[in-house]
Amino acid sequence: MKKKFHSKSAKETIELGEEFAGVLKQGDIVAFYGELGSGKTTLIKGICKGFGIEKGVKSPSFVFLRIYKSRYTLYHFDFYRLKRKEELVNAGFDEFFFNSGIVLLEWADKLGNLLPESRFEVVMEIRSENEREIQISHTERREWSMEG
Amino acid sequence: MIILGIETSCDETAAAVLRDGKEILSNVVYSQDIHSQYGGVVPELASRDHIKNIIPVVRKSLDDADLSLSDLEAIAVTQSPGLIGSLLVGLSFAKSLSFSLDIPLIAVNHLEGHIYANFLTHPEFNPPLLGLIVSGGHTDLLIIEERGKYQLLGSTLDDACGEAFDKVGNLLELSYPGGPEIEKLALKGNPNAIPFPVGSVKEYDFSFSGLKTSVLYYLRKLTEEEKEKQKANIAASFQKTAVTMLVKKSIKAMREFKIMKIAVSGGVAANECLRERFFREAKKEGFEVYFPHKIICTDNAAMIAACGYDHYKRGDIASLSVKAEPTETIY
Repeated sequence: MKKKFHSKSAKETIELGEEFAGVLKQGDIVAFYGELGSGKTTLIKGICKGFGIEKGVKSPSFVFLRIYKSRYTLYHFDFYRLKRKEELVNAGFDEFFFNSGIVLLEWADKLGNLLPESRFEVVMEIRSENEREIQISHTERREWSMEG
Repeated sequence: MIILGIETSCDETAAAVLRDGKEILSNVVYSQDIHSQYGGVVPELASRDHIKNIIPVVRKSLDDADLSLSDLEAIAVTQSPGLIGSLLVGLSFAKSLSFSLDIPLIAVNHLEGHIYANFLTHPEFNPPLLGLIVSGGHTDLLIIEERGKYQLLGSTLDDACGEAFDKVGNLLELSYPGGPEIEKLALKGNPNAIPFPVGSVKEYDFSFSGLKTSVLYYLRKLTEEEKEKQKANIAASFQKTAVTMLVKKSIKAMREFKIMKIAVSGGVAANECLRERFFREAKKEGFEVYFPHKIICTDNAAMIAACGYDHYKRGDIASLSVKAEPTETIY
């Protein structure tokens, strides 16, 4: 199942993230794709808000990983600075993928075949200033629904 | 007193030796140079590579200071915040060294380290003063009430300032890291060419994501040819806007808290445009501004040793069971 959503503002992207949080369960992995400025971190802010985390959610581009605690632990990764996918293993990041929590991966395309097979995929595209198309799917037969 | 500082919280494997918390005897950050002389591996990412590089780096810091392990009287190490795997390398190494040499271990917060880069450069200045930490991972405006006591006023809500420089560098197809590249290119451009929005985040918080997106939208409207022509203007205008954001909030805070002194540190504090602008505004607005020596703006262990020395003087010694804390702050 693949669903497309349209957002006309950062605020709407955050609201969509809040709704998406309701779909996520312990152990879920979400891979985010999209160019610089497409709204990946904004959507993740919304997801965290959905879990009651309102403060301190920001881009991990330099620090690679931020960890937020709510009823689940959220691991917010950002592979923007990853040069080769093997660095992931070298840094020990892959260990987090099998942790009990929810794993959010920005710049997931940099991981290639190191990406866990069962995952949500979120593809973000810039349509115009402020407008974004957000496509959400799951790589396996996972039941989920969102109004958007 | 001879103190060894160790820093492995993010990308850099670093070690430094200080005398009495003031005099830098050596300051080593792992580099290609050390690689050829002392071994280790060229680091790619904040990672387990620290394991391979920590011994060569510490060895060089002792060689440069013309000292041996037995001369060390204390060890200061970054214990928070940072990547757990990276922090652990420095911390475990420091613990073993502390245990085997039977000298005190001091746990230091990386952000407090950045503040100490200024204390190290300007031993004469005394709190209270305002602090601005701007780097790839942090953008924090704070009050330094006294050494060891800090109050956070505001922080970035999305991208850190240094991160915005890097990402705009990427949009302009400059090489990594983007910060110094933008600074270079900006020299050839007109900082007033493009009016990027300064934005309006409340109080003392910052937002750099909107500025990055404005640059993106601007670029999308240009043809390849126009892009080439405008590159330097975009770099200069972006840099000016980012600097304006930092300077404006700093002045607002100085006025409100009636503390007309500010210490700027972190990797972005090496940016000349930021330095010049702060000095210019300082003259106009009547405040004092301090920057660390450029070599201790980016991540280094000299600032960690300087900070550790103050902790030591206050009797703040860590136990060997102290844990690495990825998220701990100083506020």
